[in-house]
Amino acid sequence: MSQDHRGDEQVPTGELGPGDPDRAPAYERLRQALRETGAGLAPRPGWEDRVWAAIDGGATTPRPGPGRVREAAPRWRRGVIAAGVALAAAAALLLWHPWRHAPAPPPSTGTGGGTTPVDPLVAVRIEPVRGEVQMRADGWAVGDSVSVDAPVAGASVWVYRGEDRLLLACSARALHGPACRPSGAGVAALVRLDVPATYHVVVAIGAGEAPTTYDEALAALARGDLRHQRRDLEVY
Amino acid sequence: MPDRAAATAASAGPEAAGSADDDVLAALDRGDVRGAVGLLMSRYGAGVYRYCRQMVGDDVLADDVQQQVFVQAFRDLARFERRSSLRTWLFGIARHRALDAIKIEGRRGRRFPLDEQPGVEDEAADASALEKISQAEMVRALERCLEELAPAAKSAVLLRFREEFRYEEMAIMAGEKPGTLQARVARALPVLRKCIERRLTDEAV
Repeated sequence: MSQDHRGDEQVPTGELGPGDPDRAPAYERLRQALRETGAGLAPRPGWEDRVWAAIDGGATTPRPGPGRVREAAPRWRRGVIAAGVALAAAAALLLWHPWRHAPAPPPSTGTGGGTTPVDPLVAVRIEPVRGEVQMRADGWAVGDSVSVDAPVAGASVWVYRGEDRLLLACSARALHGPACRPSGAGVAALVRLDVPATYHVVVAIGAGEAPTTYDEALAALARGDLRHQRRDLEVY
Repeated sequence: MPDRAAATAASAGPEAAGSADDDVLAALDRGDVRGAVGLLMSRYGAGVYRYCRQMVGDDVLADDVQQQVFVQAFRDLARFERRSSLRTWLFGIARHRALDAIKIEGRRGRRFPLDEQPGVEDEAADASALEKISQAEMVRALERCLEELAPAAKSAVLLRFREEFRYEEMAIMAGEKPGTLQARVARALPVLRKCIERRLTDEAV
């Protein structure tokens, strides 16, 4: 049976304001006005065609995968992104190729005699651990866990749910709880993904205390010019 | 408005949500992701755009975000687990993308410090102003005042009152507790009221 339950939802007193009954009519008007905001806003004609063009342009396939959507960037930005990706790939290849067949050198401090500096972050692994009920082969689902292995000296692992919930903060000098453990010279962590949300995983080298929000974490990374690796996980 | 009709059904609970989007789910069951996304676009495209536009405050960026939402929907729809309505799922994507866009574009702008809003009940502004103005004036003032809310607060207010989601549905989108979102909205409403009163008072002077 189809029934609109919204009318039955209890409206908390606090939602109507600071509890002043004299204000109730004002808040009721406010709520009514909120329902009418944006009334004249409509997408540009042909927007569906542009979506299909983005999809059909090879930007994406129905095969699900975690991470941010990059496909729909504006055209002018796509060119810049493509060039950036190509340059980054070339740089990564140059960095990776010399040592892939050689015995693994220790992370370079940049002072080794003639050795190619190796980004310590290449050792970082952020991988899914499937939950008991595996819904699919890839992507992230509620019940999965994310395994973060950062066997790098000075590494810290921070995991946020949404923008403002710090779920976990591990570093070699502060192993809090069973979710954190030592790994090599660094640290490893395992976090269960309990609810549908965007989770943000940050591995930073040489960071201080974990910021309490993801925004602050981004600011701290930028402020300290810290080496880091980030990954966003869309969990459904 | 088909969008509102679908919203009503989709917000009404699992049973009604099923009836609103049965055709989409049937298309999915047939493996017709393209057809399913086409139905979602025709049903929710306008609402998603409106939400994105109100969130980011810019036509071009809203176009971009709306496009991202449906591209991501196309990519991820096959793994939709049917634990919520499709509308909730879609607006969850829209919320994430809009907040990402705001962060990336640095469009936070000026805003009230919601957590330490001083003197919300101070009566410096004309407290009866809300009762004197027309509904149209109220809506116009409100649209400007929404721009001054922090993105998370604005999103919660819009999803609750403009798009008429329940807190439980919003909690699924945001990965937060319903009570947290309820509290966020409760803090935002007096800020909006005060902003409107202040604007009306300023205009009257």
